[in-house]
Amino acid sequence: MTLLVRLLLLVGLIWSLPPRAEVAHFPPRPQAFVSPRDISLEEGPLTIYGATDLDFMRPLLEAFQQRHPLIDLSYHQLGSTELYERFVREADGGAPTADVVLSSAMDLQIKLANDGYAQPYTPPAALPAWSRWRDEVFGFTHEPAVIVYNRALVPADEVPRSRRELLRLLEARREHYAGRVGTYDPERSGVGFLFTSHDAELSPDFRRLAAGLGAAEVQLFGSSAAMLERVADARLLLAYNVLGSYAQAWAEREPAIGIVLPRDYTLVMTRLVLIPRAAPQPRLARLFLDFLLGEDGQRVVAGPAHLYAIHPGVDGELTARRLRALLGPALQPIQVNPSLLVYLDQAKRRRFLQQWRQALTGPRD
Amino acid sequence: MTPSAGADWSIRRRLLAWLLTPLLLVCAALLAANYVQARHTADLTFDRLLTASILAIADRVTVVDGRIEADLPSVALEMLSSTSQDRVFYRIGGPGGAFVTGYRDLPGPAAAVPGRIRFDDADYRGEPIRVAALARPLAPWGLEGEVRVLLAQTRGERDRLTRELVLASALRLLVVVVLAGLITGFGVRAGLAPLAGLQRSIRSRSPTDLSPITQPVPREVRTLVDAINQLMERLQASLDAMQRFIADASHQLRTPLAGLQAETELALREHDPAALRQALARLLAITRRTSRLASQLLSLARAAPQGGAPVLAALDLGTLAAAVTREAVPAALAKDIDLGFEGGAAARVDGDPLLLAELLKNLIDNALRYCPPQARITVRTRASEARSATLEVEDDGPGIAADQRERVLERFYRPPGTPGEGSGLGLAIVREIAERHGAVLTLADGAGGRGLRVRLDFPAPSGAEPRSAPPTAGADR
Repeated sequence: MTLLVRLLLLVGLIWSLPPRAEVAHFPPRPQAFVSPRDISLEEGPLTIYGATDLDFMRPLLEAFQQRHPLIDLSYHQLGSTELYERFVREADGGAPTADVVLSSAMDLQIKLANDGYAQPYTPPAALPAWSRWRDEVFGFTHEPAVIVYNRALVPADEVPRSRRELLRLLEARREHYAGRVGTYDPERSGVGFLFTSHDAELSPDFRRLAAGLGAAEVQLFGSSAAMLERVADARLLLAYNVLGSYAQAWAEREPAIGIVLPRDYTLVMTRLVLIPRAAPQPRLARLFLDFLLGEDGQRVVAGPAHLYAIHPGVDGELTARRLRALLGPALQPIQVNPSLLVYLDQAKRRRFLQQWRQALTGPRD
Repeated sequence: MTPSAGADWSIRRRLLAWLLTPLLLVCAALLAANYVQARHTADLTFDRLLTASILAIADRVTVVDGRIEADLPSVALEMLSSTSQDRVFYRIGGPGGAFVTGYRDLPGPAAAVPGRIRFDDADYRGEPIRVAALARPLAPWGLEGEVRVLLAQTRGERDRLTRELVLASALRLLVVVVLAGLITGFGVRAGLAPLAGLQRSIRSRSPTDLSPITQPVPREVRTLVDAINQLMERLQASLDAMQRFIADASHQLRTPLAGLQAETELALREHDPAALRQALARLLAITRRTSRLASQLLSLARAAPQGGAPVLAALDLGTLAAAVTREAVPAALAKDIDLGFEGGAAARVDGDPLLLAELLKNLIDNALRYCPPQARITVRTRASEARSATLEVEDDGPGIAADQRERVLERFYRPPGTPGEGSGLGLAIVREIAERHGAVLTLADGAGGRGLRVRLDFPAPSGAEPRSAPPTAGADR
């Protein structure tokens, strides 16, 4: 990709994610041997680069280390573009790099696999076909894009259940909602770009919706957390295309937050994990993926990690299984395949953002 | 695996080798052709997707403010990845090799004809790829040159399809080979069944059964069976002759032995020394005759074709005849018979000297035996033109009546009223030996219509080399 794209992504990253890289270290815990559970004797350092907040990852990493107490686990939390660039730099330069790379930037993960940086791996269970590519990249979460609203300020009969209802609401009560609606800024957030660009492809009402949002003086944010924070404290009444996993985690703390899964279609993104070809500890990396994609790990994903499990055998509130039962064919997973590469193309990206801005400021009726 | 290498290979093995080796070679060739075809088919199939994709991309290339821009349709890449797990690479370039977007170092066909998609195989990032190239002129936007789109995917799915197709055809060919092997095996067994039947019928015969094989056999084996039948026929004839000979010989020997017994009993009863002496003299005469009979039988056995193949060597008939005649001179003198020899030029024949000497001895002996005193016996050899050599024994004795001349050549036949104590074997021996040498035996009147002239015409010798017995010897018996 061109330097300009990298710059753009980097700029987006700086705005959208915590500005500094964090390293969480989970040293080996030999005392865990007192546990009566069957314990693995695997040992060695395992390095994970992740673009997912440590808050979400910590339960997973701890559960993994409980099963493999002798593994010296390090989790490097990085911005998705920073992660990509650092990894490619290390892999190309032959420097020691990560054993596992996981990121919500589906396009960049696909690019890593397409460019031959990932090694093949056989996952433990029958993951859905759309969530894996080439036996090299695997989705391990199943996170819906949701509409979040403030329960106290949006009456139950006004809560939009679909994009069309949202559009009608914005048109009908423009004064009430003006300046109090939020959504992702696709220019600043990778996930936001992913959702908005897929909306543009999937929704026949995309231009009207964008125009409606623009007319409602929509506020644009670089992260789900920023939107959730403002919905919780009533600075916003409603936020469109918020990551369901974050919304769920917030909703548990903040009773004011209500969540809607759009009935017309609900976009689903998945965080992708891969084992680099240059992984220093591929055996331990496979152990980690065995756990992460297996039923045990997926239960942690659905439970303490709040990330929505993708494994069809895992049931619970935050699972693909529950979402499918709720929404059926309205679930629109973002396919894990090289078509994601087009959004890394600078011209494509610039053109799309231009269209998006035009739609926002488009002719108001 | 040339069957000629193993001369002792069984017919089954030969047939199997000759049928299955070419079949396997043909199958291998077919498999190779199938591989080429399968690869072509796979390329054709997946090239269609590449074509659709590259056209979709090329259609979205525009020029904005003098710069080439590509609004990549995600469906173009999705098309390629939905059916396969192959990696996808693309490159969009402007005039003069300028890079617009995609993978900067993606290799592709050198110069694409505008509007036509070209395909090429290449290697990229350590993997074989299939590259499609499409050039579009930039004239509609008022620019010089053309935009060049490259779209590539790894060969994984193509190779998998190729493998599947080749494997399927290989399985079919394997079935064909196995079936052909089984059919050939059974076919060869069925084809060779008559031979096995023949073998069984020959093996189950009694050792004395020399009757011809009459069971129906295939045309290919008919000649072999005919040859066996001929051999058995000859064997039967030989055996018959041998048995006849043994019967005749024992019969002939019984007569003098009975005489010996009678004479001896008579002599035992004799008390008078003079009479005893006479009896002993008779005994001696009988013993001599018996002894001569035995030696004649022996030479007849030697002359008979079943007595072993004689070694025929080039020799001079004149020299041999002269020597034999010389030996007989004392006996002739004793009977006051004039025995003469007339030898011409060297008369070369292929022959067994012992048998030929025996022949001539018998002829001279016969003449001496039946000719009265003062008779003339002439032994004559000469080289003729038609036959290389001729041997004649002519006498002016009583001769043999013309109608008896055939029969005197049979064993133990003596014309009625023949005096003396001959065994009837002499001329039979002569005929036997003559036949073994391929010589023509003629009995005729002697000079002036008196006596007997026995004439033998020998065939021309084959040269200085010794040769085996002529095939006609004994065959006409």
